[in-house]
Amino acid sequence: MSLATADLAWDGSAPMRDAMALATVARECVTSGVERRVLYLRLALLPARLREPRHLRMVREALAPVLRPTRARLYELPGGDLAVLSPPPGEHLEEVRRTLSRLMPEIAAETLLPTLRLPAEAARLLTLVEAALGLDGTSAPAPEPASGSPPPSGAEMDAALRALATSNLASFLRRQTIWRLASGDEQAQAVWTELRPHVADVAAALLPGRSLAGSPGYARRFRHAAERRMLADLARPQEARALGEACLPLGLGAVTEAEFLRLDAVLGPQGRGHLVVCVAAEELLADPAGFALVHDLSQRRGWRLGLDEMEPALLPLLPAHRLALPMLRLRFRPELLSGDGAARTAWDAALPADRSRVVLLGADTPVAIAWAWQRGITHFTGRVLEARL
Amino acid sequence: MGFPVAQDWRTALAAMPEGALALFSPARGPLAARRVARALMEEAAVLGGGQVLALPGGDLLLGAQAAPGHRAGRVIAGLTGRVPEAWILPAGRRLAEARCRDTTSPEPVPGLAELEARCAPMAVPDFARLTLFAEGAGHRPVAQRLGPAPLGLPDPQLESLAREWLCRRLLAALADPAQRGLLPALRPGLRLVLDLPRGGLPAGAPLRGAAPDDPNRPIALLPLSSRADPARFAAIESELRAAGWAVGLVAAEARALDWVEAPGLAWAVPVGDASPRHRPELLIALGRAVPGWCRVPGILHEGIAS
Repeated sequence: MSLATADLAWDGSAPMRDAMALATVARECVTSGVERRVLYLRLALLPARLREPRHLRMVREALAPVLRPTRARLYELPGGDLAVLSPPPGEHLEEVRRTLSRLMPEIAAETLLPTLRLPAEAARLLTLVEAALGLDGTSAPAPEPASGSPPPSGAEMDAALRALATSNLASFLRRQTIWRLASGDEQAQAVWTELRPHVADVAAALLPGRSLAGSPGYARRFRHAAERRMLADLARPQEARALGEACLPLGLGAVTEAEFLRLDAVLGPQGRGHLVVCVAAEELLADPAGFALVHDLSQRRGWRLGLDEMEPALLPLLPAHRLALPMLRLRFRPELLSGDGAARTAWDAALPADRSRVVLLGADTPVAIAWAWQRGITHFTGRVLEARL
Repeated sequence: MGFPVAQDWRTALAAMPEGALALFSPARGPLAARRVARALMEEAAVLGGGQVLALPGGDLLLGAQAAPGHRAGRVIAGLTGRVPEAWILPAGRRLAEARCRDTTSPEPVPGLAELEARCAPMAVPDFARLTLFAEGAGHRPVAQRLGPAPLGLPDPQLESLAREWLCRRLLAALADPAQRGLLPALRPGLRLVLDLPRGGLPAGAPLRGAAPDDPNRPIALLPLSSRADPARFAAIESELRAAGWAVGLVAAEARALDWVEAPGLAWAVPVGDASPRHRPELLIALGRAVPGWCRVPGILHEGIAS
């Protein structure tokens, strides 16, 4: 769930309204560049003995002198958190913070009473607001495939691969749009259409009661076969003509299969100019010689090659200044926000200087967009954008 | 299919007009490179009028016009590093025929089960291999690498699977005094380079290295693919260093040196004429042919005087 869909849970209560208003302010600061300071009081995290009514009254009294004469505004968030928003320089926020830490010496002011600068720290503020809304971590546990089912035998696997070679994958083809949304844009623009077979569904149809999760070797072969089947369809002349600006996430093996090479030939020089092929970073590490061949092939043939499924942890390993590719598809992970300063510096340094080459995958929350905008990244795939349009 | 066209390739070769081109790409090397070569030849056949025939030992392009075929040949050479042989017809007909006839068909690519069946009965002396290395301008061995000999499979995925299995067996043989005699005898005084599987040393392996500041401490070679899990790799690396090993990566492509950031790690890669832009502290150059740029300090190479 994300802030964009949080209005489904709208209960009209004042804290919910305040939370949405604060999130909007944070986003607007990012868009317009207006500076604001926020003192965030994470009262929801205080131990129960410090959350009795008398403590809360004390906090209110400490805040009162700030709110009255200045233009500061108080937001009351669900769960009991408070946020005070003020124009810069906001020295009075610091005063309140000092008063509070004097009144309640037991609490760690650094973590429980952070002061945030907007728009620079908008992402952090949105994370805090999401936490207050109880939205954090809800999307984390991925639906585990039925772990009880056994892996297929070699013979079953062979039969499934044979069936796959002749089956119609049209209903298993997933199209996803890669959007361009710069800060200040009214609407997102569709830039590429990403095409891939939904391997989990194909596997469920062809290998009922079997799980590929436990055998990566088999899973890779199966994915490879599904991609070949999709490419065979795409390489038909009428399909190839209609391909347009396409992004194909493929395994390294599939790019040098006859089906892809046929698509490459059918597209012609002009069609190839619109095609982007993305290979997972993991595949580069597993088969660097194969990647070198594909890299050279892309340059000879005129389609573009990108790195797919780049995890933040892999980013410093394959920095863009070492391997310059026309596209880098980075997966958004919460540690991009929560990682320590050194890690965040390393990630930023590994991104290509030309940020228009970066696509942020899994931009499912406004926080992800805010993080990307701070770094000049404007291409996204994810639920936030799909839901808006 | 509809029309049984059983045209003999010799007949097709003989029927080519004067000035036509025959281009032969033998079925050697990685499957990916072979398929790319075939696709480029097919394009040349469309552009230059002609056809590509699949022979048991490779692909033969017969092009009525020579130029597209020559171009394809150059691109194939640039991409795969293998220069296809070309003959202008009819003068080269005899040579082309001999070449196509004499090339034996490659071994079929094994499936997963077949590969397992092939590796399981291999005895330790069948796959364990000791290679000696000299450093810089010298010809005297200073280091020795103990690892499984590559099987030369055309599919890199299968090759890395086999390496994984054989590395584990090699380690088991090294740790077991009863089997140790089956391994090639290590030379005393030479620095050891040992191939390890992705997971590093097995828990409790009695394989000690040397003091952490010993410049001649042994080097553990992990496959580049082990870096795909950075947290796990860091754990394996620190474990090895604590046990007195230097750590290196082995990859099948020298350009990986330029692409992958690997501070403090040695690299073992097959080398070519072109020197990589990024030089690691220690490079282990693989291959019997030693290019000139490898004969400098800090590079171990196989140029041993026999």
